[in-house]
Amino acid sequence: MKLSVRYFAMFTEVTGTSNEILEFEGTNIMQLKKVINDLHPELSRKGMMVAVNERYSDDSTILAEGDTVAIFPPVSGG
Amino acid sequence: MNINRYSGQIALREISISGQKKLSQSMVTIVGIGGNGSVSAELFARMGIGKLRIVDDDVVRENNLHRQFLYGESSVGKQKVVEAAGALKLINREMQVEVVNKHLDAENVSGIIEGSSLVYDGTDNFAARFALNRACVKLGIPFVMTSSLQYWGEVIPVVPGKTACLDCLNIPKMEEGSCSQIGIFPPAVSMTASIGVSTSVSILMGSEITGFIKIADSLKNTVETIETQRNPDCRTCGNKLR
Ligand SMILES: [Zn+2]
Repeated sequence: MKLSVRYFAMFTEVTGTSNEILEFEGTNIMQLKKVINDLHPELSRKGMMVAVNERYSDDSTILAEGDTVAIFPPVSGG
Repeated sequence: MNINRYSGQIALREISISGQKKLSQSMVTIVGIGGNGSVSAELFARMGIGKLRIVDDDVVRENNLHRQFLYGESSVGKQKVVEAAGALKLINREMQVEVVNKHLDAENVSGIIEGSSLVYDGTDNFAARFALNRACVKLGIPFVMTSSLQYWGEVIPVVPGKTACLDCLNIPKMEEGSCSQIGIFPPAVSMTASIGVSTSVSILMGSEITGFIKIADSLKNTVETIETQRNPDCRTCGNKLR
């Protein structure tokens, strides 16, 4: 399935992009995180949070063709 | 309450006289009076919050001055809470300011936030945020998390029993950088603090809010909103515990 993946906060710098289209063969977020981690290995060190179609989602969330997936880190600092 | 002083915001439908009264009867505890904490404290003071309790055990450093409100060159080396309280009293002498010169930990957190209408996070680490989140849920006090680093900031409001708490979100562990090491763009701080204060004011007004994470980007000047939902099995706010 085709997914539109968006990166927020420091992930735009780490990945060098704000969004990319991914051809994804799996079904859920946990599998997608592995794919994204292979593409951008630095992301998992910073902690990946995920939203599907602007709704916060967990690893078991099932993805569908055309979903927009946002990947962003917890921002620390004050 | 001096109506003329606040006429500019009383004119707003969202505030009006009744809202201004609510603000004047509210007590906000700000934990951490650095970047987000000091900018937000100034906004709360100008808007006419009845009382601020400010909590921090740090001193002002020269490299804080580029982003932290309330402090000037003469503040360097002095206690943050004392310097902040002095500046806040100059802005609004009707507002009460209570100074707590302590480092927040899991032991003292409940005592520090007791009696607050709302707890505002100005800390710089997730250990403190999780401790505040748990104590606020336990005591039923609304909590607004703010954080900012480099060009970005996040705001998460927690209204116990109504919106997701930080533990509902299973926030992943990560390497935490500090503002002085990896940088902080001052507009990221004021952008984040503005979202945090606006959210807090809505909660103090009694408006129904739905759970969200706001992600501010002060380079692109955008704010993204992610909707959140409570996890009924959350170890902190789950239905079994309540
Ligand atoms: Zn929870």
